[in-house]
Amino acid sequence: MMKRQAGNWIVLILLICLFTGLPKTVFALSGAGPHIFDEAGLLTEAEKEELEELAARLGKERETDFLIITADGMDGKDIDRFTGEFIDRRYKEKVPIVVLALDMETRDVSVLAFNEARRDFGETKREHVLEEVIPYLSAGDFYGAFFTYLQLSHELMGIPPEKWTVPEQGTAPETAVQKEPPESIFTQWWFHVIVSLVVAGVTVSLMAYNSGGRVTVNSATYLNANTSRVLNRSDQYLRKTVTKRRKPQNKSGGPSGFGGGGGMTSGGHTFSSTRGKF
Amino acid sequence: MVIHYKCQSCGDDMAFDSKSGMLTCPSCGRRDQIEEIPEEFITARFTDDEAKEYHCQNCGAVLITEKSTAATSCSFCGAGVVLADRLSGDLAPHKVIPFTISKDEAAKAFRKWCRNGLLTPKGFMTGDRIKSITGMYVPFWLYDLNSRVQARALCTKVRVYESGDYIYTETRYYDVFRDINLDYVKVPVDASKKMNDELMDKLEPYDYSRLKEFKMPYLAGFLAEKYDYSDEELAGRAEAKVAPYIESYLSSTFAGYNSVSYQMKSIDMKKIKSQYVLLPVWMFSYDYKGKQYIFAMNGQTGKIVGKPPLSTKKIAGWFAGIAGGTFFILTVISQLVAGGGI
Repeated sequence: MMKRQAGNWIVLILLICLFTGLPKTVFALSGAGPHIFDEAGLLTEAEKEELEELAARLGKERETDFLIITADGMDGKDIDRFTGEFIDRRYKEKVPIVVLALDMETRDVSVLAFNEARRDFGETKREHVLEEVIPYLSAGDFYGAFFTYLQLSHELMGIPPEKWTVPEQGTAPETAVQKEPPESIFTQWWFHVIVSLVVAGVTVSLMAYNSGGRVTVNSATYLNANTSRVLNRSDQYLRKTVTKRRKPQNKSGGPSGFGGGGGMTSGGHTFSSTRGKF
Repeated sequence: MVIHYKCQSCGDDMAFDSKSGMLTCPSCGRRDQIEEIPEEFITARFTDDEAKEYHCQNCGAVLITEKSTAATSCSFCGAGVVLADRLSGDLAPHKVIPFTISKDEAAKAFRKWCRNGLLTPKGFMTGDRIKSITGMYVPFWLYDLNSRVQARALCTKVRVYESGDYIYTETRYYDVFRDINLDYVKVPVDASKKMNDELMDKLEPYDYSRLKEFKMPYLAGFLAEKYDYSDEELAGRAEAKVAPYIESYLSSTFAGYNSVSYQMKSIDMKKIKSQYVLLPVWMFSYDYKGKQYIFAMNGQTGKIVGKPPLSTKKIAGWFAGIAGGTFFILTVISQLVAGGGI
């Protein structure tokens, strides 16, 4: 009887160890606490709830915390440092975290990947997220921006780094340049074929059309230049309108126009960030 | 009334010589200045009866003419004759541009032109099957048209500049008004029913500085037609020819604006005058594979028009050549660009 009880206990302990040990990370991250920290008050309650639900669900699938942090001024701190301190306060465990941080005062936007997410959410992925999100931010559609960020991050996290062809942070620019030419249609052979056929078709048609002789008179042939002229003209200025738009991010001079950074927070979380303006 | 120019020295038939511009006798070489030959018939009026049947002044044979023929050669003795009543009164041309290209020159130039056709079949180029070459004075109306154009438009000038992080697009709006006088002079429209309008339009331009007062001896040895359509009937065609020129002139006065949207546009076109002239055309009839092709040459400038047959083989060859060449160049360029990028 005793022996049997002891056996049961061992099984129970083993089971507990198994359950708490293996999926420890899962329990430590998702579901635990909020994901949306909207200090700048950019979202309505309903929007916030929706996004919260989405962040929780997507985070669980990827075993990653997808956070959104907004602030209206960061006490003069750099956005990455501010975010790092924020993470230090909330997370003791070194779990994978992806953060979209906004500073409404400086109009900085930064995508940060903490701990293990640094590997899975490399620079080109972060740049990709910024590229997609910034237009929404510029347009003032914050819900759209956050929604896009969550969806896209979830999707990108699902692609293993080795399958995501774009290299990770810190690689030399030439690797990034190499990936460009195949994307341009001007270097595609089928594009050359189409252009060649069009050029040949137009040229031959013109040759055939002109084989019967060309019209060689123009508007000046029969014009009497001595008497033909503008008798009266007026150009009255009425009004003017000015529209402005943001300069597109300059893509030349490196893999991207976005800034980047990384390091370790005082709480020991390692992180990499990619940032831009909106 | 049939006029036939007989050589005063030897009695042979005289004809107009395009090289010297004089009435020339092919037998003895006598040359007469055309300006000095009396023109007693040009203002004469003829009754209809007189015009029913023409007899050659040289041999007396009946001249076979069409209704619109004004000059021809006697089909019997070959003498060049001018039918004066079809060139007098209302039908008297004001001016004429005499031929400056002779029959031999025309034939030579035409053969050369045939050989130069890039898409014409080989057999056509070398065949040399000119069936006939006819020198013909084609009746044209030359219109002087005056147009008064008034237009009002809302125009914009767009300036794009950068400042700080922003790109600014500044659009200035203007109310623009134009009042234009346009004179188009001597716009030619062919007045013969027989002639293909498209072909005749392509023969332009003629050098009007060589327009001469009309004299009948210019027609000696050539065919000539009288007009089938009056100047009133063809005024519309002249206006249609000029309309695109007016549009392009008008839009040229709006240069500097990025967009022009017309709010008012009025074009008032008036015919100032019209002149009846005869212009020289060499007509070629060419047989190729049982089909007859018609070509025309400007008898003054030598410009040749007319649709030659097209060779499918040659078209395919050019197409393949150009396509292949372009493809090769594009490939090389893209290789160079890709190679130079690293």
